Amino acid sequence: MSLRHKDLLSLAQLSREEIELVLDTAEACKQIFDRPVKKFPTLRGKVVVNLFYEASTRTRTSFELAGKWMSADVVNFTASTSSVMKGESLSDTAKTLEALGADIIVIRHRSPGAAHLVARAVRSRVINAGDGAHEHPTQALLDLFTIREKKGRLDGLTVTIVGDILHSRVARSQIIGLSRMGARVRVAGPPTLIPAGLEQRGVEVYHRLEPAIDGADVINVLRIQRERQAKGLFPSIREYVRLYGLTRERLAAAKEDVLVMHPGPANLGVEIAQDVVEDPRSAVREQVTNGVAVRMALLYLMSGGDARELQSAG
Amino acid sequence: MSCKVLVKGVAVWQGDGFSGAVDLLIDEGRIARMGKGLSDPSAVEIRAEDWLALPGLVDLHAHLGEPGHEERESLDTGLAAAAWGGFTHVVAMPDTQPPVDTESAVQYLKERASRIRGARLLICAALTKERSGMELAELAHLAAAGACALGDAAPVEDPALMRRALQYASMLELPVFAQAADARLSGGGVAHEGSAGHWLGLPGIPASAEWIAVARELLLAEETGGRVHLQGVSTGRSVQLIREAKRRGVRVTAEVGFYHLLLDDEALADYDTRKKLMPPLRPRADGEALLEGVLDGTVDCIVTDHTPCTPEEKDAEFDVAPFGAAGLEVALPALYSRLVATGKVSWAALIEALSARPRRIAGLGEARIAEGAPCDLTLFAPGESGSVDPSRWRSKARNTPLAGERLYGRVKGIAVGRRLCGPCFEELEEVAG
Repeated sequence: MSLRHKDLLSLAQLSREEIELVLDTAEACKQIFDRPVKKFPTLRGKVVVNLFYEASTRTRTSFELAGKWMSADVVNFTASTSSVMKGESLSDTAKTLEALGADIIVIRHRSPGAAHLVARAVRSRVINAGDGAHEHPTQALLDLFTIREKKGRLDGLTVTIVGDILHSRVARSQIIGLSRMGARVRVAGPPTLIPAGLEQRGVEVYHRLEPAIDGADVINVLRIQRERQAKGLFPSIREYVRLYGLTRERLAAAKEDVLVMHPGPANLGVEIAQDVVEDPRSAVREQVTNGVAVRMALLYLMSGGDARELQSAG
Repeated sequence: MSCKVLVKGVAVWQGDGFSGAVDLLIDEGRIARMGKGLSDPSAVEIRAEDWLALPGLVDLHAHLGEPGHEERESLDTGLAAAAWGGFTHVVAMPDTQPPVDTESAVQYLKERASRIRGARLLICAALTKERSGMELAELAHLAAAGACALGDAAPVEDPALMRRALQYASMLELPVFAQAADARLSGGGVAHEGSAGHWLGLPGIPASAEWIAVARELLLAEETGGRVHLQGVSTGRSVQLIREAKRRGVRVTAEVGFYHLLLDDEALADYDTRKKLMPPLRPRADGEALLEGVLDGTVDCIVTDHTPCTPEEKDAEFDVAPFGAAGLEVALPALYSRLVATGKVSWAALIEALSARPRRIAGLGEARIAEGAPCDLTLFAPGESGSVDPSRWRSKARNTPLAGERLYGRVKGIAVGRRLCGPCFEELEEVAG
């Protein structure tokens, strides 16, 4: 079994079976972490280009390691060192990378739909590593992986996403992925940061944190951008912390075995307290590790790899 | 060309329906004769069996680029595009560089256009100096120069200025063309604020940005007695507000862009920048309400809002690309295929919205197709079909979301005064050498 689509632009492109395939493959990839030599030979001769127009340390590094551990040649192309400043269009840049032999282009861009634009311009396969407020499918996949690993399943779980749902590409991908895998999704945040009409997608909307996390199996805390406050979407960071900051005291309202996640980078002491991140119930650090495994799996599957072969190769 | 032409076997619009096949002898800018079995050895014959002759169509809203944006469109290409799209008259917006905000600018454009083979140019001159929204342009001068409407082709933010404009323009008997959008509410948005746009992560333009501006202009027109024409109405609620205002006797007319009748915001899923319009594409329910408004006359006319962009401008990220789609050469076949051929709109209603009512708003006389009447007609072959291929357009623009769509109906030409343009007349010239 392999993936049907040429590109991964939105999590909505993946069926339940395909998501399971990615997670299963990631599990096989993760075994490499315990080995002295972290290398699969499977993507030897393949070229992966990280085309990053937005500053990103963890996602870019994660893709870079994933590519290298699969033996691909990984090239980083960042906006500051590129021809963007010279007025080259995105589709033109993508065609240049294709001409340089890119098999897979991983793109991060501030504009929603940028990955679609690149995917239309080239025959190379395209992975969306975050396009504006649209989606961040690999982040959602690593979150699904982490939840499944910790909880043993996704189906029937209750997952609460806290924060700026309106501007969050992570939230969009998570809602799509979690719903597809049979989890119940709740969101919590002020009305100015929650889009209208989420209920029609089966999402439960809360404006207070305590009832939103009561009975939840997983709490996913989103990063709050300070510029939202400047735009008047909420009055102050202080007030935001008071209403939605996840502290250890507040965590008492949740299930004892609740799993706490954050896509990073976290504003410690704002949306999440330092001690919650370091709490045994938090998977924040493992999310980062799992990110590499999930991206290895994606690079592998998108290069036409078969999950069973990978296991036997190990 | 202005030779004598005999159009053979065409069905002619007669106000309430089409006639049987008749012949039209066009000579010296008039319909010299109309009847069955006409012959004139000195005339060139056009075989027009199965064609329709419609009263000359008028587009109240087009951006023709000149002066200042000739890379997008010029008067030569824009007026030819209008003619090849079936429009005998087209109203150009003043958002040029420099803007059309002086008497001499209006005179210059009219003079330029008089020597161009294409549709007749009508001019919407700027309402405020430099289109800055700060102080009124010399409106009486603009009227004297022959502007048919006054408007900035941009929202006028200051309500006091809009109020004065309506008061002042009322003595000139010209409509104020108002773009109904509250810039502060729509600011930064690129798509309708709703479910479709949300899942695409596109910054939203709430419907209230339009409702508030529509309500404001309606109330100001009511209070001042001024005459306002609402451009680019795109929501069902606006239609309702206009309907109520018309019942109260407010002097208001309104238009809808044809793309808003045919597409909705679900179409944005592929981030095709050719669908990035201002106002934005709205949910399907709005399109249905707009169509209802057209049918009951609340929305007076359908316009193209022809907005040419270069391919380089549109080959950009969705939020960065400019707004607008070109439409002059695709509007009539698209409206015919999707609305008339499907039975949603009658020919009578379409002709009201594309000819009769826009003519009244622009101050043109009625276009009658009758013996002795001056020529002002559009020839259309509903039976021909083809794929929309912008590379064959007269317009410089290529930006239509309907590219590649299979549509019924082909514009064959227009005859307005002595001007005969369009494919059927061009073929004649080729034959004549």
